[in-house]
Amino acid sequence: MSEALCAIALLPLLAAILSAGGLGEWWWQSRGWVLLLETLAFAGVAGLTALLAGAALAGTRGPWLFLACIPLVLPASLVGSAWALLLGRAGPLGDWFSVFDWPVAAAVVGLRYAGLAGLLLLGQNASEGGRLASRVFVVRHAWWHLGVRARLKPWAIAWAVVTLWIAAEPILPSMFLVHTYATQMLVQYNALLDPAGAAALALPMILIGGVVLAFVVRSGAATVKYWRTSKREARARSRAVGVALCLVATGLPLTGVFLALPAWPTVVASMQGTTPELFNSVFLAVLVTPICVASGWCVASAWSRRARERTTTLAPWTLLTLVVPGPLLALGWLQAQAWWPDRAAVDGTFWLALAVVARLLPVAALVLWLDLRRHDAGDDAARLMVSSTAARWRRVTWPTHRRVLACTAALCFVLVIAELELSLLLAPPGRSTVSVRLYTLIHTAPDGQVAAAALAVLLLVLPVVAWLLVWLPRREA
Amino acid sequence: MRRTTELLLCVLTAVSFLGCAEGTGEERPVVVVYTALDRVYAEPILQRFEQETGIEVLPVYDAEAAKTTGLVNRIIARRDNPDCDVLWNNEVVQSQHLADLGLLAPYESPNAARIPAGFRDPQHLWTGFAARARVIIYNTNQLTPDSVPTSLDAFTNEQWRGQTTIALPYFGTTLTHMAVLRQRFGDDRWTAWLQDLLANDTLVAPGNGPVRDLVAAGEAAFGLTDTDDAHGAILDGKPVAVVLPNDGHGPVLIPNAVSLIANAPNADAGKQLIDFLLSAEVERALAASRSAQIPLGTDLADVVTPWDALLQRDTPGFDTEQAAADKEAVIETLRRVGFGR
Repeated sequence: MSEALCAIALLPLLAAILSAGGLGEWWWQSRGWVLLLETLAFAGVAGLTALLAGAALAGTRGPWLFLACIPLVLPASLVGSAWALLLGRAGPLGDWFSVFDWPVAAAVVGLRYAGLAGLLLLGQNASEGGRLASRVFVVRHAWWHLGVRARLKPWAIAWAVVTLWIAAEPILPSMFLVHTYATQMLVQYNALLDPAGAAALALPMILIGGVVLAFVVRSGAATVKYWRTSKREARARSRAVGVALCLVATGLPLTGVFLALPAWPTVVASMQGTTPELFNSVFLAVLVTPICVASGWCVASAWSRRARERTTTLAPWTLLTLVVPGPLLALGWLQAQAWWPDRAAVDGTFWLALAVVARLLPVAALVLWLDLRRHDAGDDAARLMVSSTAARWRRVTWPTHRRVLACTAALCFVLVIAELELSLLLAPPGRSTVSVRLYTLIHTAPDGQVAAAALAVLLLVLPVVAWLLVWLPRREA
Repeated sequence: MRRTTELLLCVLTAVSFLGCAEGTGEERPVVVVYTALDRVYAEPILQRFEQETGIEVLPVYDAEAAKTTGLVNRIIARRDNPDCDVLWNNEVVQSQHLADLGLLAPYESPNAARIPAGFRDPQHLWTGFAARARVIIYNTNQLTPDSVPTSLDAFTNEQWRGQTTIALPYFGTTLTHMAVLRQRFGDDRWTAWLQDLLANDTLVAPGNGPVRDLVAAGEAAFGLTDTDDAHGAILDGKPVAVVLPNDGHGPVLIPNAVSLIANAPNADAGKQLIDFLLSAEVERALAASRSAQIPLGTDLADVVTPWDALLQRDTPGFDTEQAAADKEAVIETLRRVGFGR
């Protein structure tokens, strides 16, 4: 079952690779490789920023991590505009830091992904052994051995995944006048109308992604035990850093939204104008999120189990779909539509839902795997003690994993609402999503109308995500 | 537990598929239109068509992220199973490209006669209407109408180093503009201009909207954009104004283009929509909208636009077939020069 799910996720990517038919002219020239290195450098620095911020956020309790995910649901153009207002030439901090300078641009892009990095690290909670060690032993350089060295591997994995994700993001970097290899993929796909050529441009990045994933697969067998201090002052410090990061990464774009809001009647009218798309997006998110979590659980379970058994699985390779821009995958699904016999299904929401599930399955599987890979003998013993499957789920699995399940659901929900590239090609006529609506508004409508539409999205997303992330994990099972 | 999870997954998937599948037995006539014109302008017009004809319009709007070609790619990808009846493009080169691929059907609308021949395809595969012009937008806090340069050579002048901006020229109207400049300047002069442009640290923005925003924020003193982008900023009270670029060959007018898709499932309704879009009523509405589009119909000389002082409406169109044919060469030159890296 899990292998079939992985195959579905990999199907469009495979179609894209097969359609490429070679490296194409671009990669036989030095400029292509120079651009790729520049992309990796930019995404790497941005990924490092995201990782450091995410690490601080993962150590906090309460809503900070979910607040840091808000920039993911805001359109990239809106986030970029907010930063340009603050760090542009006319901005209050523009004289010291210009968002159009490379390192600042990388840091700002990284902050948008801080929540994602934090979620990736969330599964790495302190093991009991590590916590005990911190209390019993006075270890020289304990911070290095238990605090840093033990974290290197999961941090490296999270950094690599976020970096690859950022490298495939064409919109926000270009807002800060940084062009990446994804820009050239868009040129090949959108300007030359050459999907095969765009796939060819993606091949080296897929190869790099493959190498990274080989590392992830190898590390899958290892049990990571690392130490987290339980001291009150350290927790307070971590929370303070998390709050500060949230204020910067989320507060600034949100401030931009609120400052641009027009009079209340206009806000209401703008929100009403967005209602059909909001409904479509919510319908899609409600449909897709549980499927993503359920299938992600299936894949992540198989992934961790196979890693312990040292047998192979397709699961980690599904992450390859994250290193290519969405339109390529959408084209793969369009190809699949041509083979599908039921025209009614083709013209409905079916394909969009399927494509979004396939796109987010690796994300859900990864987040859940990071939790499941911590092989706990106590869990196994508890499972053996309970005979009924339902009772085992209710009394062992859910209490053990409820937090990461809620986080996965929240992340998937946010990403479905924010999803743009697949919706653009696969949404049936008359069923546009709110992300498409926002992107069309940004460059044409007055700022106030855009802000009102963004506020409508926030009002929709925040309560759901807050419920998933705050209330659900605290509920006693 | 695994079995339970898998069972749950199967149930959820089945329910989802049932929820997604839709019947096709609609009684009300429908027309599916792909429109690259910004939604805020297109939506009221499509709603008016619905009210007047009773035909339900199912629109697919383009997004800035995919530029104008997301829809064109979608049409190409679904060439064997089209779901689109009408393409309402906001420029003509990609429509010409679809025509060259045989994906458009000829239709001579009775309302097309009001559009000058230079903005229509001789084979009736597309018809232009309601144009935008390429303009230089400048920051009024930094420049005055007397000091703003109007020559495109100003973009390569050392005096303006790092103070000018253009959109990444691979997409939309900027790509069309580049193709037109190549026709007008000749390949050698145009290539040299591009090289000088980059050497002069011109800011390369991701689109014409960001060009407008960079100028309005004072990041650049002036840049190349479209009249509709500039007009929105002017209405919002931002410190910008426009002048027409003077390259010695007159202004570049880029019309909307409407086409009937080959093997359209609702061709009759599609033709009705095309007739409506080519009517004087629609051009008048687009001229009065925030985008302040320039009517091309010969019967709308009385309609006033903010651009009347800048340009003549009887400006000839450009060689669309040549522009479409040159597209790959233009993009190759842009890449060789180094745009987008």
